[in-house]
Parts: sequence; structure tokens; C-alpha cells
Amino acid sequence: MIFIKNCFGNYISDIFSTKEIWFYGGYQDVKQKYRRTRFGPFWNTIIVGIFLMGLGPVYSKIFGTDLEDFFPYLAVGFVIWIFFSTTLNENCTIFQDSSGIIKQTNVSIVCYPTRIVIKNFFNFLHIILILPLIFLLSGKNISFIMILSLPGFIMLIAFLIFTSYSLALLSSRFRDIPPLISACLQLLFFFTPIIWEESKISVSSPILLSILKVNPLFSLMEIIRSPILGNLPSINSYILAFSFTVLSFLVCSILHYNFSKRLSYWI
Amino acid sequence: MKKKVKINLKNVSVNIPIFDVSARSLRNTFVNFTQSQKDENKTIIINALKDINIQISSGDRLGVIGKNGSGKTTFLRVCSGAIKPDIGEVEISGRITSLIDIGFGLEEDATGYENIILKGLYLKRSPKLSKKLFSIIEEISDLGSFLNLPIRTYSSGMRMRLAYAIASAEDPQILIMDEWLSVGDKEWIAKMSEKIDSFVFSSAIFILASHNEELVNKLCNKIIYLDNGNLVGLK
Repeated sequence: MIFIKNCFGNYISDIFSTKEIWFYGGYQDVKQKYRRTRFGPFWNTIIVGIFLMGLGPVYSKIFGTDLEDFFPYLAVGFVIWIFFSTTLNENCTIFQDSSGIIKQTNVSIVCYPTRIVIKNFFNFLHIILILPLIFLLSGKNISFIMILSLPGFIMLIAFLIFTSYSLALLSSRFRDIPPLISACLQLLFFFTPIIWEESKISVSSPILLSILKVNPLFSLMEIIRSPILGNLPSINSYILAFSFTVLSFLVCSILHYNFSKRLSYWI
Repeated sequence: MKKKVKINLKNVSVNIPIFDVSARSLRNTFVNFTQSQKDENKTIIINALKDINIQISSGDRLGVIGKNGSGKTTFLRVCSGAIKPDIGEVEISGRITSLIDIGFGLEEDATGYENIILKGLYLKRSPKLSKKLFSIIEEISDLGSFLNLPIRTYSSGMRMRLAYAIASAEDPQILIMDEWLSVGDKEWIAKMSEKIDSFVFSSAIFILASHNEELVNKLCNKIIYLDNGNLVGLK
């Protein structure tokens, strides 16, 4: 019982005690990156916008779907994907990159990966500005169900904060993990329903579908995207997404409890 | 407040593993794990500190003397809480101001003022508090309107002055220094020497590592000698 309290309590209290570092730091990171550019962080919006405008029409032809349905579906999925993959990719080397600071201070190390999540979250807030335009272009109606995507989104952020920390910690001990992660993330793009739709595969090969659902992003994506597009996600997706979030929390707080003290020896 | 400030080191050993490429790979760990045999030659371990016992309490000005590689900096890092020892216990209470590497945490592209806030975060100052300290930092750093420019435009001396000013804006409870300050030009040091002295001597605990015994004798009332990670003398 005491172990459980120490283990989970430690991590949570470290996250809250460093909130100013990760929040203000994340904000500064965004500001830093786009200093002296004309469009600033809106470059994210432009880049994703250009990509979607090109990809949408072509892929809807390839898959033989209506552009009106496919375009918003692709856009929402892709925007979430960018948030997910850049966060995890950048986090793999975060401890090596901040080793100078880590060896100087006794600030809890959980703030560094969280800072990256926040930074990418700010970028994400800029990127989603492309969505209204795409919804307008494809004549998609906006409904109140959209609000239901909020719990899913909170779960996604929590999942990213926990998983980022675990990955960052493991990556600083085992230097083979960062390239492995970026390889896996490339594959994950195709294993997650972003450019294809779940309904297509559920008819032809239900077994494959259940294997693909081992991917945490599968259910997280579903509970965020469906409400935005005006559909209700299935209760199963909520259960799955919630379980993955809890699991990621368990893993990261156990790692934190056992190995966070060793970090300064690894970097 | 000052009564509480203390650092206790109990049987502290620090063994720093130097991973070579093969020890760090995931495959090797896995192979070792499955074959249940430990390949101990792979990782070189440096015993940076061996079984150190010391109690530092309020009012102590501790000098740490030793050759290069004797464990001085590691000792300071343990005292500042940045390195947790693998054996033994460390108990630290009090706000720590570490000047081991004075320039850490500065962002090249941010302005002087932004850096005051950014670096302040790592010193556990809220952005609000940092803003209150602006006037003090302006005075100590003596940088004037340069504070509005990104610090990549600063000379290295100016950068150090800013870093020092940020660190010394609040009175320290525990002040940790690796060698004496080498900040700024003669004029600045002459102008600030009183401030520097009062900053150093306002701390409840002061730890200075140096190979300059004369300086340590002058500034400190307690001296430890480190050799090869062992505590060999206490004065």
C-alpha cells in the first residue's frame, strides 16, 4: 500500500510542482522556434494545409470515396497524428538534450518531457485552424456533438505526457530506442485509421481489425475524431482508450519511482 | 528560517557507469538477461565518491580541496541534489543556489529579460517573482538596455554577468561554488565586490571547491580534503 502511494504519488506531485517550468517553457519553445519568421507558428497551419489540400483529392480518388466525407475525416485524423507523432519523436532525446540543466539542478526530471508535450500542444492549437476551412470547403455541418471530443482529447494529452516520460527515460539508458521509435511511428501511420476508414476493413477482415486495435492511437483517434465529424463513438472505444491511458500512467510512475534517480548517470 | 538549513551525507558513494557502445544496446541487455550471465567487463565504473560521511549545518563555510578528478565537482553535485547517490543517503534542506556551471539554462535567442524568467524557473522562482527581481538584476548585471536584446548578441563576459546576476538576485540559503567567480571585467568586479561579498556571506551554508588552498583558508571555516573519491582529511 505504501509502495503504491509512493510510486504514484511521487509522479503526480512532481508533475504539479514543476508546472510553471513546463508550461512557461513550452510556451517559450514555440516562441523561440518561430522568431523572425513572418507567419510564426502559423507556419504549422500552412504546412499541414498544403499537405492536406494535395493529399485529400488524390486519395479520395484512389480509395473511391466521396471527397465531402473523406476530406474532413482525413484532416482531423492527420492533425491528431501530427500532434501524436512529433511529440513522441521529439521526446526520445529530450534528456540528452537537457543534460546540462539536469546535472545542475534538483528540479524534477518529469518537467522536460511534459514541456515538449505542451510545446506541441501549442503548435496543435495553431494547426487546427485549418479545420474550419476544410469543413467549409467540403460543406460539412458543425454540430454540438463536437464538444464530446474534449474528454478524448484530455485522455490523449494525458497518454502523451505519461508515454513521453517513459520513452524519454528508456531512451536515455538504451540509445537504440529513439531510431526504433521513429521506425515504429512510420508504420503506425498506416496502422491507424487516418487515410483509410475502419468500416472498410471491419467487413473484409475482422481479425486484422482486432489486432490493429492493440495500437493505442486507434481508440484515442476514434473518440476524438468521431464527435468532431458529428458521430457518437462506441463505448468500447472509450473503454479501450481509458485503459491505455491508465496503463501508460502505471508504467511511467513505476519507471519514475525506480529509475528517475539513475538518470543523471545515464546522460 | 536559517536554523533549518542543513546538508547531511551518510555513507554516500557515487559510482558512475561509463557505458561503452555494446553495454548500452538493447540487444546486449536482452542477451545477457536471457542467458542469465553478467558480462561485467563491458561497463567501466568510476568510483567518484567513496563512503563519504559529513554533516554541514547552518553557519558552515566549507572548503573542498583536491586534485583534478578527485571528486570535488561530484561532491558539489551531490550536495546540490542534482546527483542522487547510489549508496547512502543525502538530506538537504534549504534553497540551493548552485554556481557550478553558471551559464546553464540560458537560451540564445531569448532576450535578457526572457532569460531572467526562464532561468528563474530552474531556480524555483515563479515568473511573477522573477519580474519583481528585474530591478535588482538590472543593477547587478549592469547591462542596461542590452537586456532587451537576445543574448546571442552578448559577449561571453556579459553573459556571465547576467547569469551571475540572476543567480544572486535572491539571498541564498545554500550557496555552492566551483572555483571562485571568474565573471566580468576588472571594472565590474571592482564595482560589485562589496555586493559579491555580501551575497556570499549572507548564505547560511557556503561550499567552495578549489585547488587554491590559500583562498579556501581565507574564506572557509571548515575544510575537507578529497583524494580519489575518498575523504582524507577534515579541518
